[in-house]
Amino acid sequence: MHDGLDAYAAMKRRRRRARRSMMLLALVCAIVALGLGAFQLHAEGLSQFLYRAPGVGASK
Amino acid sequence: MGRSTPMVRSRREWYRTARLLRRQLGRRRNRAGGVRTISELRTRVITGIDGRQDTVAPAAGSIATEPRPADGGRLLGNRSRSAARSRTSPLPLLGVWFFRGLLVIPFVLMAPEIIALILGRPDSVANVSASTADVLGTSSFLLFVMMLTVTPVHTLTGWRWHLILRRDYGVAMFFTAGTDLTLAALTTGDTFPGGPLGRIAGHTFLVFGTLSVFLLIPLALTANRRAMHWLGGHWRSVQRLTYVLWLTILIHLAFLFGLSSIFLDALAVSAPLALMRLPAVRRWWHAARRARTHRLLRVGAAVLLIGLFSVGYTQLVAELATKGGAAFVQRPPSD
Repeated sequence: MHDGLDAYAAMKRRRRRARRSMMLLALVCAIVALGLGAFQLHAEGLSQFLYRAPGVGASK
Repeated sequence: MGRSTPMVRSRREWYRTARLLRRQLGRRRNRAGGVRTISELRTRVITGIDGRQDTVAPAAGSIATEPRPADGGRLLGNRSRSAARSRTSPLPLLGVWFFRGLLVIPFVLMAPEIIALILGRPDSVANVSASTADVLGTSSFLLFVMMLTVTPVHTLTGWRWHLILRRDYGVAMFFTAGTDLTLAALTTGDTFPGGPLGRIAGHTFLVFGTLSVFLLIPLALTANRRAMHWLGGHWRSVQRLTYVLWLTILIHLAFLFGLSSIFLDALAVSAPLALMRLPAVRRWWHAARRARTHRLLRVGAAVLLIGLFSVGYTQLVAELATKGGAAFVQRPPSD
């Protein structure tokens, strides 16, 4: 009985850890993307970062 | 003593359900070669029925969500019969493979330019640079929309044959958007200064585009049964990142197009999909469909929602057809 409960608790712990890992991965992905943006903003200045000439990025 | 009676009853009900399951599914072997446990069988039956996740991930093999109490044993009887009917009918299979076939379109449209790029032909870099956002970017969004459409179609019609497409479209979107980002980083030096980093994060819209592609990584990594078993009940909460992704894609399009053209089309397709995801709306629709009530209201609402969705969707498809056709013959529109 106790073994079953222990196994269940271990499984729950493992799954919580798995969720934390995936959320951490998502957070790292978001930080990398936003960090790259912040780096470019710092390097090129705000006006260059905000301004999009017609046709740049998409043909419309 | 008084409290033990319901427990015994529930246990009896569970054993009845278990016996019914065994009879319906037979004694099947699991991966390890042993006879499947009751919970495995139950998971299989329930997940075939209840595909309500709004996610990038498998519908047919999802981790067991508890059956709705109202369904009870009836769920295992009538629905498994209809599931058996749909298994024997070739139409759902044809439908699934037809919609899977659409997934190769973006790669087919871009193939001539990519092959020319690999072969180092003149103007190939400029051609890919001009086409990649128009073709692969629009395709990625269309795939995302198709993925999001799976659940509302289930809510509206009760169909289940198409639920597996949610994973297929999600994974296809990951590869399409990933290819778009890679090609943009390699070839758009003529429009974006600052090297590969400037090409993927040098503008507001680029940052949100890149963020969207990066957010697809955990979603695509968990779009399989192994990840579902690994995460258990938390799998759904991880897959809810899809809604964050939806928001970042809309911000990307807003920065790119402003309040015009493709952004408005994106809002037009998003509004009905978002509305059909509201828990109250979905619950009401499911209940009304099962009880066969409010038919006129449901038909009216469906026409309105499908109409709004179609307005945006046809514009996006027309955009892809125009730009994709030009890319296929390697004559992309010049910026």
